Amino acid sequence: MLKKDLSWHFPGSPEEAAALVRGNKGYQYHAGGTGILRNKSSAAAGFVDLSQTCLEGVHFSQEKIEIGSMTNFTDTAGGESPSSSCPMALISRAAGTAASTPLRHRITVGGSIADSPPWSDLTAVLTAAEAEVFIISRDGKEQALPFIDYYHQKKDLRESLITKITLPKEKGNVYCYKRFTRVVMDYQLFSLALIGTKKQNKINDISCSATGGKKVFISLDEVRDFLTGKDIDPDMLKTAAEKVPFDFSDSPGFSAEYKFHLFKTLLKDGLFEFAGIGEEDI
Amino acid sequence: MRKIFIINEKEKELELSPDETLLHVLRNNGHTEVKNGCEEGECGACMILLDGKAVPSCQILAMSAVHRSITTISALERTEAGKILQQSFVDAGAVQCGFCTPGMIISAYSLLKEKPNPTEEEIKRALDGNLCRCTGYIKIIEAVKRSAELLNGTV
Repeated sequence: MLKKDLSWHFPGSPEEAAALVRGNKGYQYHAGGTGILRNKSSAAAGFVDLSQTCLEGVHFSQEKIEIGSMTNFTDTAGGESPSSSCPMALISRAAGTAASTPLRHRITVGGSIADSPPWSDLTAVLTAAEAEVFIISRDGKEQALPFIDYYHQKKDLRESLITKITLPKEKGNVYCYKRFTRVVMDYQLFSLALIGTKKQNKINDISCSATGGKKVFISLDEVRDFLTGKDIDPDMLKTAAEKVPFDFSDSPGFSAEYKFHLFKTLLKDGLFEFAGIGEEDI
Repeated sequence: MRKIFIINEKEKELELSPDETLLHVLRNNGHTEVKNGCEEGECGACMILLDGKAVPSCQILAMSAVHRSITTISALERTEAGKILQQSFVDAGAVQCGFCTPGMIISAYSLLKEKPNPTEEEIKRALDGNLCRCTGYIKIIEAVKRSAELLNGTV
């Protein structure tokens, strides 16, 4: 339950918002609010609403794509010319299939990075796309760090304000995003993000990331190392999909072993899609 | 405390507590046309338009919607699209107990404003945050398709 005597604040800039959280014990940021309502954070003494901090929008520059932390998933999914950039297309795809249409109007990129809620977890895509997270840290300084570093230091960065993420505009020429759910509108059990460069019949490079394992984030470095520089061949892709570490735990309805097999199937399908191999080619 | 909201194009001052969801504030202040279903953002019974976008009001803290434009199902009957949707739901037999209908119509209205000629896939996607436990979805999808045709004058 939330406290009855919560205070609400509506700062006009990110710096003002960060100062409010820094200077008041128990204050939390309020972005879209879906995470707060699910978690019913009883420790919150006040909310610092970010709706007036001008942190919305998707902007393309020559080398980078910037996504403001208050950009909701609907706008992220419809980001400017997603097809022109594989990292943007990957994020658009993930944002456009998360949760449900009305919830995507509320869920923000920054909130999802800060909380990694199961309905809108962007961990896999941001890792594969080599995103950078920009924050105003506890000491009021602006800082940029690779998403994967942010992810590993998240507990220590709890009071920091995410202002935007950036993606490289040019990375790879092919991507694939997959999520496994029991029905279309459900929380994902796994998500898988692949991005890389394919030339003629060869995989020059590939980044593979996934969520849904025991430690939330599944490292697929062995798959990447196995595939890099190889000619595309269905048997080779099937072998690559077997190189997943056993890193799953039991959960209601799914044993760890069952998840392991499901994930390998999802990865195999993803690799085939990445390589442009259809059923008829096998 | 009392705060100002723009509800169905009229400025209204509503009584609220800072921890309350918009759903509760609306219902406690007489807007019972906004239905209370799951309170988890899953069923869509409490759907409203917030600044023109369909959102579940149970997933919004009311304080974050102060001074913003809220549209409930009551205002839609004053619009052409709202009237057509209402009649199409009746004609298609898309209403049984009626509990999900306000939310369904809000989502459909939001879709038709953005995409006047939606495909069946787009209709299904737009309604993916609304659950119906009576009719199933075939008649509801038919009603939205029919509304789009009527609004475009193709029928």
